[in-house]
Amino acid sequence: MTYYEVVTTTVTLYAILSVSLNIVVGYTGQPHLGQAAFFGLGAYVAAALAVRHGVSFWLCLPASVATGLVAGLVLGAISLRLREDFLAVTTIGLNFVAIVFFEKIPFFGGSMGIYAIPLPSLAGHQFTPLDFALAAIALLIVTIAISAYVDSTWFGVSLRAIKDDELAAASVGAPVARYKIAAFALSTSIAGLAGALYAFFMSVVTPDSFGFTESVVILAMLMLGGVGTIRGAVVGAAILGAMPELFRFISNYRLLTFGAILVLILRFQPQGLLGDDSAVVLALRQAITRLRTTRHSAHPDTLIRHGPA
Amino acid sequence: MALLEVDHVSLRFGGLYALTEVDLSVEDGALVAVIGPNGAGKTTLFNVIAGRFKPTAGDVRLNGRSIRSLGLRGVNVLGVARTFQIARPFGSLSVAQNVQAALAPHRDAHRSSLAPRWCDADARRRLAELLELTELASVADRRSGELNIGGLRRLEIARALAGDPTLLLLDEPAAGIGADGIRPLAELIRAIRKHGTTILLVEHYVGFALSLADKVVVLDEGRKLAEGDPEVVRRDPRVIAAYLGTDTVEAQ
Repeated sequence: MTYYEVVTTTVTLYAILSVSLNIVVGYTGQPHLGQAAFFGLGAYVAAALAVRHGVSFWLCLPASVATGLVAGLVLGAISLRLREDFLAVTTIGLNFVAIVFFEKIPFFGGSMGIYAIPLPSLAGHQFTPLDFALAAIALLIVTIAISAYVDSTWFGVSLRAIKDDELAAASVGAPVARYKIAAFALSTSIAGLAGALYAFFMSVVTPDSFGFTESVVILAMLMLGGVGTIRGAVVGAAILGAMPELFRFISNYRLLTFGAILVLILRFQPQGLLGDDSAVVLALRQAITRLRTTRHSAHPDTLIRHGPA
Repeated sequence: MALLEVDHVSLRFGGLYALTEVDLSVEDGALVAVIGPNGAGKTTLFNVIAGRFKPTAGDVRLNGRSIRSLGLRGVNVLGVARTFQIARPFGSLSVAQNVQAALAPHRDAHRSSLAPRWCDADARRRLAELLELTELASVADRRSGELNIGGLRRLEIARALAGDPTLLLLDEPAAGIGADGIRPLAELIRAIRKHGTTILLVEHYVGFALSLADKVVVLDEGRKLAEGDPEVVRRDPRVIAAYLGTDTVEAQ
């Protein structure tokens, strides 16, 4: 059944992008509405290398990572000069710059894009749709592992400190500028890698696959699931990615539906479905606390705020 | 040579003189209090020392080295840590993570910031010490945004101490904590001092500041009005006129 494998690969690629976006938006607190541009850059570099220079899939992967990395370093450096709202606008602009780039530069094949990207092979065996699905899942697992690891490091706690209060973070000695750039570069490297896999999976890349809309969809997935958490990024991608497949009629109104969901989420559950203060997570946490307090006698804490903030 | 020298520092925002030729020196191991009425420029002076504002004129030196244009991080890594008058916790992080975020930039240079936090035994010990000292151990896993003002003040101090600073800038640590909190806070500050940390304290509660300090500097309208022994400053008629005359009763 090729259909399920194709859907799985697509949804998994979205999950990778959403988890990688979370490093910038969720951990570091920087607005980023241009992740699709880096995804596209990775895809285009891989496609061009494979088709024009006969570079193998396995060498295209590191090339796309490197491209994402360099582009992310540049964006990170730019981000330092911009206040939050201007950074958001700048990242929106990136999407349009990227499309012009893909359309106008001959290396990238113009508005026709690049097609007939050869199927990758491993030890003489050509990739099947199932192999792509498995490769995407493997890449998602690696992305989740990297993301969770970063969150457990000293670097990771500094990123979250920067998100909460940049000035206080600098006051305790955090290298704010360097860490912001690093967060962007890590995130866009992963997006570039996902792009390479996407190019070989689709066997064709066209400029309009990587527009602003896709960036918004990726951010919407993260916000639906819960910004700042890996589980939220994955679940949000699964829901929004699978929805057009599960409900056929939605696919004609995909953006309209996503927009409506986003508005409802922001109004009623701004932490996202599984974010740290969402109803689901709070209920779970309370249940756990109840279990604990029945075992240990609770004592009133004099350092905790009582009543409304 | 004094540990900290503020040398003829002026700071101007457009036409507003926030600080005018302020001189101040803090000897190694001392506890110096800066007092003055609201708007006197106390917090602004801290912001200049900590690297948030670059002085329009004058210099700030730490151990003889100019720190006037090093920025917040640059000043902090040289051993100057501060607390904020209005607490600025990393609100989504737990109390322990707040202190870890402050420990992170101060670990040994050979230890990678890409190492997991749990596998650094030294840092774990230091974290436990800091939480113990500031009596935050019982709420270590609570989100810092849930702390009340007393808890937040302690967290500010724990974070500032994380890098084992040579100079600690305390910005109104007693503000808002109520009469019950004053005595434990004074004990905490004395304990920090005993450890060898030099302290510069900005305080609105005069009685509290005078009881701790060995030198007092009085600011008024961005200028230094008086300086000296707490008892002498307390009796200085200019100081009484500017400030103490209206405030002593409330402060004691």
